Amino acid sequence: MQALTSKHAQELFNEAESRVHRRTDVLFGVLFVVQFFGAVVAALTLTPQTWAGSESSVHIHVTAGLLLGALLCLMPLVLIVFRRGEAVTRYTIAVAQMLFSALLIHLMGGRLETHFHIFGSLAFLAFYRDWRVLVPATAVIATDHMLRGFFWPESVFGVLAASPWRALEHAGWVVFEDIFLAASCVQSQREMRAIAESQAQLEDAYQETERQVQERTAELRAQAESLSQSEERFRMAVHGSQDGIWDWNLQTNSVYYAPQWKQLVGCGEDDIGTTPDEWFGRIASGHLAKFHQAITELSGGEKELLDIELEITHADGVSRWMLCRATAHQDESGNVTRLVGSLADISDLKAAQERLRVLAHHDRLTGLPNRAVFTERVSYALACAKRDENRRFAVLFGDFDGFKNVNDSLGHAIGDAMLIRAGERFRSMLRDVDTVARMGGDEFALILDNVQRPEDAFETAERLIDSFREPYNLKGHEVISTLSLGLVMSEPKYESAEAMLRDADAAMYQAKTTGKNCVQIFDEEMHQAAMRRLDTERELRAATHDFESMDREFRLQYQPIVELNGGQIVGFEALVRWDHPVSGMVPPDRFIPIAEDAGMIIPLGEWVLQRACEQAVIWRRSLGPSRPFKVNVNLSRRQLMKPDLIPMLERVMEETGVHPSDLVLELTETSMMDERIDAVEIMGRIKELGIGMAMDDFGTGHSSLSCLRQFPIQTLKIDRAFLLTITEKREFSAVVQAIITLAYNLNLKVVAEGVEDAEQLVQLQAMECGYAQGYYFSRPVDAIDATRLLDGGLEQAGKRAA
Amino acid sequence: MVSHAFERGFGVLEMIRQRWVLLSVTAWAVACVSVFVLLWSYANVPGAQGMLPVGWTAATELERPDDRAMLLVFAHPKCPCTRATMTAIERLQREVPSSFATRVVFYEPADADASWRQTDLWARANKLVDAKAIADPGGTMTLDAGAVVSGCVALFDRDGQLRFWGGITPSRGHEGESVGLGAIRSVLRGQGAEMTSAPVYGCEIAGACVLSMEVCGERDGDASIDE
Repeated sequence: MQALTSKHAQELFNEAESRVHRRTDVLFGVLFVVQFFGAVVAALTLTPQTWAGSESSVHIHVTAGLLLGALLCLMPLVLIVFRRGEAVTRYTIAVAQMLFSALLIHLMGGRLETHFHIFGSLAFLAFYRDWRVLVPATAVIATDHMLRGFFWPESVFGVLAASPWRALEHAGWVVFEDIFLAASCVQSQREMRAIAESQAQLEDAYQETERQVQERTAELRAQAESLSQSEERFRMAVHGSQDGIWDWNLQTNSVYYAPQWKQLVGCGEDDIGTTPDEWFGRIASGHLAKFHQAITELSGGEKELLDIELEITHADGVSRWMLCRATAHQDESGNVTRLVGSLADISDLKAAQERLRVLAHHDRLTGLPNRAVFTERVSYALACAKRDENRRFAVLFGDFDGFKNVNDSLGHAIGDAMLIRAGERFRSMLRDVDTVARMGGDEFALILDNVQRPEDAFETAERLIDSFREPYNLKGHEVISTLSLGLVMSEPKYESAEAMLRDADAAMYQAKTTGKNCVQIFDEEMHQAAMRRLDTERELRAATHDFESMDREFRLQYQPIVELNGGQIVGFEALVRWDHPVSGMVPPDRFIPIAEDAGMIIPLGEWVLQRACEQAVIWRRSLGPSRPFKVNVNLSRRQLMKPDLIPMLERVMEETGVHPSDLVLELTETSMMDERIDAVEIMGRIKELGIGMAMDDFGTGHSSLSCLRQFPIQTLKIDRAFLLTITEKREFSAVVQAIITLAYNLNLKVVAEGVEDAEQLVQLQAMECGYAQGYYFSRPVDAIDATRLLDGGLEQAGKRAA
Repeated sequence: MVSHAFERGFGVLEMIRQRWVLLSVTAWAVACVSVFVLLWSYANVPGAQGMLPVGWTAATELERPDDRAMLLVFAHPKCPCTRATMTAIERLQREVPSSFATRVVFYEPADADASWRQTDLWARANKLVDAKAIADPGGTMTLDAGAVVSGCVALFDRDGQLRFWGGITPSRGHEGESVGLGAIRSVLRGQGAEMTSAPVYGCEIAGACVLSMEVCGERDGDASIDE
């Protein structure tokens, strides 16, 4: 018999088999009880008594029926109660049933008919549908017959000797029934197995189906949950978003407008239906065709995304800029069925973009076009001039003279106001075809279009200069700031706007240097001068690359500062000179401004300080500690603005070993008055280092004398311009006298710069000026000559002072 | 199928694991078999066979047919074991018909009431073909003939010669083929010349009378044949 194909089928079969076994056990339990009473009844009926003459006694069959019958029933019934369905119960029942057959046959006197009980019992055992039960039953019969055939052959065979043939016959019939019943059991089991197999398959299929249903149900539940969450998120997004969601069903031609959409166009929830016209009717007529086109392309599948800016009329009648974005949704066959998108109000963004565009092309202060626009327009004019040889134009580059003074003296607010008024004045003076732009600071540039002759342009420039000689009335201030202009005419040689601007700038620079408040027409010499300036800047950059290069190309010269009372040299001012390898010694006024403008003054100033301090240490060693002696070093405005000025000073002092009291830093009056610099704070920290400070070129700036009190200076150096005039005009002498008196009142030392002759010296001594320096005492000399002055020249200087 | 049965081990291995169950079943089986052996032993222990005195037949007043043999049966009317003897006689009458006449001598106590003659054995004896049931009050005839156990049979041939003495059942109260039945069948078919005998299984006929010969002797002359 083949084993079942699955464990489940085997379990079902075992379960069914067990059920049959248990049921048959109970059946046999009942049968045993019936047989017991049958045996007793048979014994009482057939052989109740045994006789010995007239005396009787209970027949042994009655006893046997009761006791043996009970004994045979006992074990099967116990097992049926406690071990129902188990193999031991079945086999015990089989044995007991066969023994019961033997008992009944015996009690029935060996009647042939009673022997059918055996066959009946075997058939009854087949109820178990287990052929194995027939084995112990048959074994009991065989044993019974063998034993009795051996010991009492006549009881089995009817003869005194055993008869193997009759035994074989008996066995044959039993085996016949056994085979019959076993075949029946096997067949029955096979059917049970088939049923179990089918049931298992059905149950497995059912369970699989149930599992799939459960899985699918769980999956659908999860999907439903996810969908619910997604819908919730979408609902929250729709309600929370500033954008107005819309969903256009192309099949029904209905549009869902989210509440925010309706709010964007200024409508209430019930003010808008579901037709596309609700939307189209609000689109500005100029954008409607474009929008129709975009929608057609999107719904036709030509485009996947819609991204278009529209002007939509708000309910309040004002047009608003809206950004419309959408995607197309297709069905399984690829047809577009829905358009879903959003509408966002970008009016503010548009306005900001417009503001940015204006800012990008215009000067914020004056509203004039800026440098970029001006350059672009010059380029355009150049291109036009190239196409049309008869077309010429002029570019003017202007800068206000003394505008810095306006800023410094009246403040930036006045300065800015002046620039605004200047812009207006420019615009009022020019034609519509002309362009005026603010290039930065106080620089303006103009395009005079369609100017055929330079004279015409020059004339316009002159008129402009004249107009700017008129004062501005700015917040109660009469302000005059004249204009210097550089003029350049368009020429075929110009390939770029930058070139024209460069040349106009150069002409303006020339106008500045030649007296200001004038017009200079660009010529080749100006170009050459500009090129020289560029060369100088390039060479200066290379020369100031590091200390080594500066040691090679720069020299320090020292000009003595003399005490007028005793004629003693009390110090030197260190002055830098550029010993150009090709051009030779370059005057300071040719490279210092360039170094200032280009930033090279920073390394150069540090180099000067380093070398001057080293020299000061040398001189201090030779002079001894008791003699008053200082080395003055100029500190530029750019150096003063450097955040690492103080650390730099500390490092130089540490490296050179100079005593701080031997060092004086000279700061120009304009540097101190620069609003970008917190000069008081910086100078305070310098003072904390022990370094002395002097205000250089006093009188050239716009500071009031009262400002001197706030700066921690010890020395005031009167600019040489005052010295040039004190001998000529009386009033200038009074000014110098006032400065000296004020300085003494502020407990400041006074050094007069630029003393060139004895007359000046006499006047200064008469004014009780304490110190002076100038060519009258000595030109700036190198360190060796300066040392010589300290040693031998001291007497000469002293004599001159005396 | 067989291999599958062995795979499942007939459940014996399980029984072995459940030792107390196996022991109990074994003890039970042994007890049952033992009782059966006792029962079978009782059923197969023959009674006292006795012996017919020589010439007893002539001395009797039984009417013996001349043309056929006579089967004389001594029986206790209430002995259940003798039913098998009656069955054996019925079988002989079917197998060897008209070859013998039957006389059944039923013992009854001296003071027996009518119930002693209203038993199934009396009824069956009367239904036998060519047979007579004879009451033997006090068992005189029976004792004279030397029969001790109910079911003891004597076969006389047509010449009056005793040809068989003993029982014709295989065991006590059991029907079926037996040595005595076979021997009688042979005699009636004219086979064999020797007198044979076989053990007798049944109740004692005379019972206490056997032990009291005097009482029994006092009743010798009372024997008669009931027609």
